[in-house]
Amino acid sequence: MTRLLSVSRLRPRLVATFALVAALTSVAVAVTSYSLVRAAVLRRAESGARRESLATFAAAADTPARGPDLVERLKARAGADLDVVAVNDDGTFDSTSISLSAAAVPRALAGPVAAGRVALVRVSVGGHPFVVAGGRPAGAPALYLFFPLAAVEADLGLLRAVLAGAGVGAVLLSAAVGALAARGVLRPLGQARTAAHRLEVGLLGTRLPEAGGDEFADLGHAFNRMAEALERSVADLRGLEASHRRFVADVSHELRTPLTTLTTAADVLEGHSGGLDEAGARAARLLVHESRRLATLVEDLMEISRLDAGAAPMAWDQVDVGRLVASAVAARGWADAVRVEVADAGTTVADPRRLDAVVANLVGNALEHGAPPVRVVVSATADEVRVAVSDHGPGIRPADLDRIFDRFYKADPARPGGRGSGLGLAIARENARLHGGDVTVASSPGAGATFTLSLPRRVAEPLPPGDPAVTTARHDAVP
Amino acid sequence: MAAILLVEDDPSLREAVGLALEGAGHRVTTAATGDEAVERWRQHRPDLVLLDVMLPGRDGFDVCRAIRATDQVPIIMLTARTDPIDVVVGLESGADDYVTKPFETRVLLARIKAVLRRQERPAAEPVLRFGDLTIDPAGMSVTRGEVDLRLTPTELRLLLELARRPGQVFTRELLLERVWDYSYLGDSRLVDVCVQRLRGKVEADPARPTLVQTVRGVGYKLVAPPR
Repeated sequence: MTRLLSVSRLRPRLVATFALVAALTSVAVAVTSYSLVRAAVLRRAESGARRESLATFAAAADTPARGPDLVERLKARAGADLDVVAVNDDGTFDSTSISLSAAAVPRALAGPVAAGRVALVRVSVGGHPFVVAGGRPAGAPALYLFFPLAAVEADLGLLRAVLAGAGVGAVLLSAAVGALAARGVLRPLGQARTAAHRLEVGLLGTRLPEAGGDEFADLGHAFNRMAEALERSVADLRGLEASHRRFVADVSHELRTPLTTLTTAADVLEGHSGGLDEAGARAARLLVHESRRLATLVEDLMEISRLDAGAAPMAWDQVDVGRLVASAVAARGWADAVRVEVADAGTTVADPRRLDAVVANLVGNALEHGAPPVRVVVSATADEVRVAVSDHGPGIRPADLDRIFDRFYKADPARPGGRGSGLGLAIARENARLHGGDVTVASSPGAGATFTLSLPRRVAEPLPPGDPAVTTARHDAVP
Repeated sequence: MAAILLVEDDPSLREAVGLALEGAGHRVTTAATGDEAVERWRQHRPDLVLLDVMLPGRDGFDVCRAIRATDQVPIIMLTARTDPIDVVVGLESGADDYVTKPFETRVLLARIKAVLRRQERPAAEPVLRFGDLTIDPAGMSVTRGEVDLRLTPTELRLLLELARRPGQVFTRELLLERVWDYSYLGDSRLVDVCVQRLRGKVEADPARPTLVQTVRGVGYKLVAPPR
């Protein structure tokens, strides 16, 4: 809720702005017009009072009446509503109203009246507003005429109330209009946001409407151009990827047969090397050895190429990891040099061939670059299965530890080329990652090395990433 | 040891494999195309056929089906590694096993040995009868009534394994070991497709098998028909 009302959001901002403008405008208008009207009305009241008082003073000079009679007569003849107070020199007074006495006469008038002038003043007497005119017609006592302003004040009060009410109404109306304007803006904005999210999750065909000719149409047009460009560029990349994969497949296809010829012929030669002289036998051995190495290298290159292209198929099956490790070791004739300890069987769903490849690589490395005895420990928790391969070799230097999974990285360049391709660990790690797991290493020089394969424990094949169930779930999250 | 027909279009590979086979004591005849293969097979009636699936013109699967129409000679396919469809199509066409290129010579020789062993007649085993089906291990034949069902040695070996213990469930791993000689990481498709082919020959309704039954999640078993 606070987020909805926070001033950084568009709707409250718009509503507040509209309301503020309306408020400021109506306050300015109300204040100005009220002051002007009030001033004018009061001026008119005063000039009316002045005219009337001059006429009344003239009448007072004409009439011989004095005392209460005078004031009553003057009040009666007056054209406007007024009360008369006549103040005699001795301080006594006559008044047409009980509430008005000599004490009610404003002191400001006393001076001018004594000096023989006519003066007007606006004053509040007993809480009521009056215009009081004072004068001393010839031969008459000091006369003070009280013109009540109550009616005028009442009218002004009504005007104030109306202006205030209208102002509040204007503010509310503005706020409502602001909210409507906000909605008009927020709806296409919401559409744009939804469209952006759909692009994000991969629905590249998403487009915004371009009708209307306003800024949202412009936005829609710009968005659509962007989406088209994105779609094209993704299609290009996919095309590149597809042609890369075709290339890999073609190369692998072309290499397959000559490689087989090479290794087969080398095997035959090996069988006949007894009939060769020393140089011939040595050449034959080299040929056999290197052609096998070449075959391994090509196989590994093809595999890592497939892994890179994301074209590596997974054959998921129930696997008893302990049994798989033991079989992998036995099948390669390593059972004498490798001790396999199965702490927990660690059953999970995995690709048996890929796991076999990882185990073979780690154990093979331990035998070749480390030293026997090699120990393999299979353990499991509820969430994870681990295969730890430890050797008693010279260990790995800290500088090499980070890079040992790099392709073709040779920790010891001086060491004669082994049977491996330089890609074994990289492939092993990729295979582990295809399962959602990893291969890690711990070692210190002189203390051997331990490579650990860790796999999350699964009960079923994971859903492929393009699965509609996955995309739909994310799409529903769009507000 | 055996007369092998090698069908491979690449001349160098043909020569190299021929040398390797002869080095192991086999007699080798070669063919470079599908048509040649069928021709040579008819002429020489080899003990085993090594069949490359990628041949110019008539492809390996076609040759396999043509041979299987009348002959139960063991057939081993030479396939490409990256095409899983090849393996299944080849097996469905009637091949007994497959080897992927590039292969190690010893692997090829081992597969050949394994499939030839399936042709050996087991010593002194009694004839088994299931309904109108008669399995004669010594005679290496399976008949329904008077009709010879003409199982390949692999299919027959598979049936025998199951029939020796009716009701017992055999896992794919076990069958791969006993019938195909794969002690580790054998391809379970070999078993599945062979069972399919077997059912096609011995079941009254292959789509609803009553003799060779699947036990889901475990493997296969033979169920003797009720008397």
